[in-house]
Amino acid sequence: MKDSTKKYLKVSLTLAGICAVSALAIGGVNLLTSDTIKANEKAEVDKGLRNIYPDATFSDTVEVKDEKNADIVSYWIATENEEERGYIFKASGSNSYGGLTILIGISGEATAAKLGTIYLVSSEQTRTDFIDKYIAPYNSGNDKETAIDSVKCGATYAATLIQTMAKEAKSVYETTKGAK
Amino acid sequence: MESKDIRRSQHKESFVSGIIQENPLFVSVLGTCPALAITTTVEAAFGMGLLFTFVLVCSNIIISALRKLIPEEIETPAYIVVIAAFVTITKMLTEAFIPALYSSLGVFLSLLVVNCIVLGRAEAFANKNTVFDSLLDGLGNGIGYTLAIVVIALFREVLGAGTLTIGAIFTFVPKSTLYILKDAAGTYDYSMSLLTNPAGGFIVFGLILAVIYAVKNHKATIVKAKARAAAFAAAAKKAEPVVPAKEAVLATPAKEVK
Amino acid sequence: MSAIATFLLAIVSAMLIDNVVLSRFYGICSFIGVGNRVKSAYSMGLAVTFVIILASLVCWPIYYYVLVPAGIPFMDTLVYILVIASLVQVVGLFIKKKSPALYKSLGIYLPLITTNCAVLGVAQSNTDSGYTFAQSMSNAIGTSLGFLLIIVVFACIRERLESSNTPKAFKGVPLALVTAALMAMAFMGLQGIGA
Repeated sequence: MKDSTKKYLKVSLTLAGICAVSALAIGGVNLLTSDTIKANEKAEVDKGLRNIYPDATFSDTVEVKDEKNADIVSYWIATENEEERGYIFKASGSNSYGGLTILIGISGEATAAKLGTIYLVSSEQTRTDFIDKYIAPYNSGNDKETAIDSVKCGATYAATLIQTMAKEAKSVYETTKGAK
Repeated sequence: MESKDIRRSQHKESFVSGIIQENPLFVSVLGTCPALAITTTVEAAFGMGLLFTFVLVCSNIIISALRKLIPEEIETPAYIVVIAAFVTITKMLTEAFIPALYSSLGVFLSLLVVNCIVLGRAEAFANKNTVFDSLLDGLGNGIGYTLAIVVIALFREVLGAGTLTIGAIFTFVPKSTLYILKDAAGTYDYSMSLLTNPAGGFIVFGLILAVIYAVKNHKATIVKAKARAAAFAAAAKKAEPVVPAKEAVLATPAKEVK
Repeated sequence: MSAIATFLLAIVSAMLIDNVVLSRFYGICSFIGVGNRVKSAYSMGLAVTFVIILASLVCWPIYYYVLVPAGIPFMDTLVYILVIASLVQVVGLFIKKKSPALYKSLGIYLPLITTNCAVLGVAQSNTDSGYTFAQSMSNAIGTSLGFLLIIVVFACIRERLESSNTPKAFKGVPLALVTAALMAMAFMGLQGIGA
């Protein structure tokens, strides 16, 4: 009995030791790299902001907590030459194929919001190569006001999700701009 | 002096065999999940191969170094913990320094933990051999795997997308595209877009394996025919002094069968 | 759409449209190695289904209620694989007690479920994609049912193919892969129309 407990003790201690050393190693590397990772994320979002409104300066991030438009995470206000160019919304949602984060640029009056450009930040979708095809109609439409509803979506993959997020961004824009 | 030569040839053998004779993907058909999922572009496949080699070499080294300390009952969980630690470290390093590779590999970077090759080499080789041998074995298998998935990706990208793009992921190389089956202006497009779909991955992999098996079968047939010829020649030689007529009877069937 | 309808639709899409083996490439090693006996394929599929659902059930709360509040979300892979390994042991003991015949027919496949990419893949992608609990459960159920469906259909096809006359170079794995390619092309038709 004592011998077998000794054996169990030795086995569990070895396993616990290996787990502990691995955990420490992972934690150490995390300390080294977490700052770089955060900087990379910020750089990617900044690249998107500059892609939508190339010459504008951006305000600080404004968090959005709206239950009806749950996918909208935050927005920035873009100003160019002292004049407000528009808002850029960061939308982060997911469907059964994975997650998706996009930037949506919206400008115009509160009653006549116009969709600007949509920029893909990151996607964990199964077919990420389809996302560019789904975003293209929004970026190339001529009549941006009705663009959101008139884009045809299949029932699969991310097209419906992008359309939902664009509509939510437009509604948040109308409420925020209208309240000002 | 002699044992050193033997050891050096042993090292060389464990290194080279992982690349061609016992290629983990084409011969043992292990680790097929990333081989089908990541191979839509050559760059992503090459990046995956690099990270795979890194994880394999590191885990082989550590497991071989610890091989006398780990009791037999907890072998598998202990190996899994070590491999998972290295995979997490690789994930974090990739996310920090090559973010484009991290986002294109997605969840398959985490799936290196349960990759049959990494666990297989750990259990079959690293826990019985020295650190240096395990390092060479890991390096050989890693290089073999990288070659294999780059070949699959080459077929899928060149024939499926019509272009060959470098620099999209490894940004220190200027981004350049080689237009092969497609024209930059779009005037002609001979690419088979099925090959970039999941179904195309299965087809390319299956056809490459079929070609390899055909070559192996052909070689085996030649070896067998040569062996049979040698056996008949030896039998004929042995029967010579006894009865010449018997030798004629022995010789003709051999000619007919061939 | 009501919550139940969304849930069911997510299950159907994970099972058929975005099939775990033919579109997401998760369980290929065991898929190719399952051989051609339908009964053993069926029992392995059931065992994998059980493990996937249990693993997702356990891993999602661990991530959001243990790892994230403790500030160590990067330990998720390590924790998930340990959870899965112990779950497979527990399921093995359970099956051994309940029905030794099933345990014997599973044979070597049971410890192999630990290294099945589908189990860790589902658990990891649930938290990587930021799913809610309902979404992760529908993902798990759809994935596992899709895996079971594909395994059984594939075993049936391979059983028929065994007795037919195929080129020598294709015997074994290449034929399985080409069959899988044809199945994937069939399932591609369920994907709907892109832009």
